[in-house]
Amino acid sequence: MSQYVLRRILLIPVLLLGITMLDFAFINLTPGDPVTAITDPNELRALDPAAVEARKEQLGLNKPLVVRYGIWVREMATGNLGYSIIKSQPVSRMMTNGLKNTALLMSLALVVSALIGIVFGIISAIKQHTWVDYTLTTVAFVGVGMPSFFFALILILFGALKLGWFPTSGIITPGDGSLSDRIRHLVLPLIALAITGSGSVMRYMRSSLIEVLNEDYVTTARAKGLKSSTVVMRHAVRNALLPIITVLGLRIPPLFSGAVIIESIFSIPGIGSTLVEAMKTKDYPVIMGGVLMTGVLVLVSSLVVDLLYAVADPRIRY
Amino acid sequence: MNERDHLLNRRALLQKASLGAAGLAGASLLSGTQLTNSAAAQDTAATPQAGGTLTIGVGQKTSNSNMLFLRHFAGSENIYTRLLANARLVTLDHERKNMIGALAESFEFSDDTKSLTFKLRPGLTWHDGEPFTSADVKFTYHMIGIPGIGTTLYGSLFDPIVVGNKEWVDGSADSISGLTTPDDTTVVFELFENLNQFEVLQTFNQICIAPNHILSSYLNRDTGVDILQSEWATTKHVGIGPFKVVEYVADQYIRYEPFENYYNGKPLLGEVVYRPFLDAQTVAASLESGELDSGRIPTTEFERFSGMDSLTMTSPPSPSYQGTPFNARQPFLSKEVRQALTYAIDREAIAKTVYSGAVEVVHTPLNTTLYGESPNLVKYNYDPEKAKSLLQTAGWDPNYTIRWALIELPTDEQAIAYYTAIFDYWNAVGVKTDFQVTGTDTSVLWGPNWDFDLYPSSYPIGTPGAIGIHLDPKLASYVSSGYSEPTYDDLWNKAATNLSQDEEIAVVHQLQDIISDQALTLMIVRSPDIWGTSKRVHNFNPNYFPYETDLYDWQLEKVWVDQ
Repeated sequence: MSQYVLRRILLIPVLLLGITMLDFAFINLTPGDPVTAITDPNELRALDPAAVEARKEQLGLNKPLVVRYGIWVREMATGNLGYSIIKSQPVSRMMTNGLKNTALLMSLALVVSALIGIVFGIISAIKQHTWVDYTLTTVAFVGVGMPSFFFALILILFGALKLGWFPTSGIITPGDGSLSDRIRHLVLPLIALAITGSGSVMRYMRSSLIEVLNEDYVTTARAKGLKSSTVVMRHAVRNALLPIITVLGLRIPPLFSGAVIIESIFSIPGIGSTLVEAMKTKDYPVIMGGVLMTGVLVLVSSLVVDLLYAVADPRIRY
Repeated sequence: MNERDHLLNRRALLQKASLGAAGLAGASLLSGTQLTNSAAAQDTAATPQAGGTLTIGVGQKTSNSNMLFLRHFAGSENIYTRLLANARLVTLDHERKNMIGALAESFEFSDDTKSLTFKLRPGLTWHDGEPFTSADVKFTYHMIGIPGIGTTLYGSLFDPIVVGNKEWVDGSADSISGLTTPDDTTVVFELFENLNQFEVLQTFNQICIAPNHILSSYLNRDTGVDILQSEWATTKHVGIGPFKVVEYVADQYIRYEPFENYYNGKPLLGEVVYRPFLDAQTVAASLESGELDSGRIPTTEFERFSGMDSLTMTSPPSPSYQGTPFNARQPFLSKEVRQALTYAIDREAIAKTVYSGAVEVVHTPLNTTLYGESPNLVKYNYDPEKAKSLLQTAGWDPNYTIRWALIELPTDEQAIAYYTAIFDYWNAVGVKTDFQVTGTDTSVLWGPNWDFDLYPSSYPIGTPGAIGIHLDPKLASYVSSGYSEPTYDDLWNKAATNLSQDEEIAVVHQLQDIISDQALTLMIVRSPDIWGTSKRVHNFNPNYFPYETDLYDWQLEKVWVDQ
């Protein structure tokens, strides 16, 4: 097991090198560059092509692709991700700020959707073919089918505009920033993400638990006279959770890429919107920072999920 | 790649969108909705009160993270933050007709027009208490010439104006030879001869002065660009405007407090909060919920917001129009064809249906507030029969397709309705149209290529200097009409010189005549600029600044709120 873990850890830098190399190549092969992307067309009357080239030279954009990538790798190895060409901020700071906001929201959304999905999935499985099951199934399908942005707009309409209980956007109220203020700002985007995300978890939990409840050892447990709740919670649910670990594990990478549309609707300065903006303006340092960060997080999280699987199921050994 | 590869099927695009707003045949017209164009509508007979908070929201795709915008950057939000915390030597007055002194108490051109002297207001200080002097002005005008400052390449803005500026910007001189500071309150710029004085002052209007005592170490051609990462440029800004920054939260808000030593007096407001949003619709929602006191709203929300008792809707005349210059170089875009294409569009109907009646039709890109309207101005009122007749005279080939060059296909409902309307009008007179998607490679819009017919965007309404890039043949570089004719060319040259007011008006009127007669620009409507402001706010009259030439004095020191 330890050898497996070590092997996976050693593989991470190699994979990251490949990922970043490919991304760097693709980004630079697309037309345009940050200099012309950020220049207001109405300033172009003052534009001197020689000056454009000088600016590109200053930014190092005229160097060969391989050289530029090499410089990026060298600097990245020392912890320097450079500065955003567009915003002139350190990329690491932009990533940290964006990640802070995104990770908090998305983590909470993941936990809440998991809890809701698991609990209602269990209830739906136990109450299979009853009105409870049908109702929860319907709710699950609505959750799966409804786009989160649409649900977000409904939440803003009722939660913020009609009832006035929550703010329409942002992460803090200017001049406030207290814990309660931050929580108030999180509620609506959290609900939008969690509700729409819980549907699929509910369905997976339901089908997985139904399958486990039909196993022989569960029948044996019942035959031994154990209470139904003990049979379900102690014997069946744990085994039924194995596929859920996989489902939730697949949701960890999006935690860090963010929900761009939700961030836009609620004006949350998350990593998703930061990266989308960087791609539009060809802000290479930020794009590469985002690629690196996402790559690291995905690779590490997939390792963690694999290990959790081994913990959850003793039969699994690497 | 064959240019036709760029042309996309318009029908495929239209199938993606519901176009009820463009149903012109059954379009309902707005009635009774009034927009105000002045802050007077927000005033009551109440007595101004000191204190209180004004929260402003602006929808932008990039949020402000760099307050060192000595000049415009992509997105106008920076202009709002600059107006709050910074000031210029001169400004356009509140009525937007005359240039007046701001940090400069007075300014004077020499008799031979070869110098401009600014006398700075004595006793002014920066937000940190340090004195404001001519050294700050000298520093600023040198700093903007450092490569990479502010926007990409604007140091050369003053190349045709100030002697020695070009040499400083290109690195062949150690300083601007034409900029001198005889004493702490005097700045003298040596100018090239016979320049249009209003245009010169408008250029100076665009530069906010920065503090030499904080930033002088950045005045270095090699390392000066590091100023963009300085605390001053990001989180701990020191300016000389009516409000000083007290709290900056990246991508969320900037809080300001009034500056006691502002040259026009300490503002009445107790606090200003500036909030950038990623989306204009979110601004509207925040305004509706009361989280904002004032915000620019999309025209699609205009009707709904007009019905709200708690808000006043204002729409200052935007200094830009929606439309495009015609590429008159194209042989098939002759004068008759251009005229026909303009006659063929019912612009009033577009204003009423696509823009909810929140905009007006405009007929000339030359500012009529400043120059008035020429009596010979040609106005293209909707006349499809005349359009057809002109097309026939011109021998229009019905098989040809007019191309709208775009970086990407429109996705928002209003833009789709806008194009659909125009396409339908032109189709009705026998002219086919389609999109020419350029992507990020916009070389077709430049010389020597000029491989475009139309490039829809927002274009300036302003002085000859402001609109010249698209219409003045000698400035042709980007999306220019390409029209050239001796009389016309001569008028542009004259407009750039020092003229008396009457002479200038006469020249501008002649330009108006030619531009309209030749139909060099397809002007659809004035760009929408609708602000919703809470009725608790008084004397606040913001506007959207697509062009810095319209930076006028907001008189922020006079704004106050009910408490």
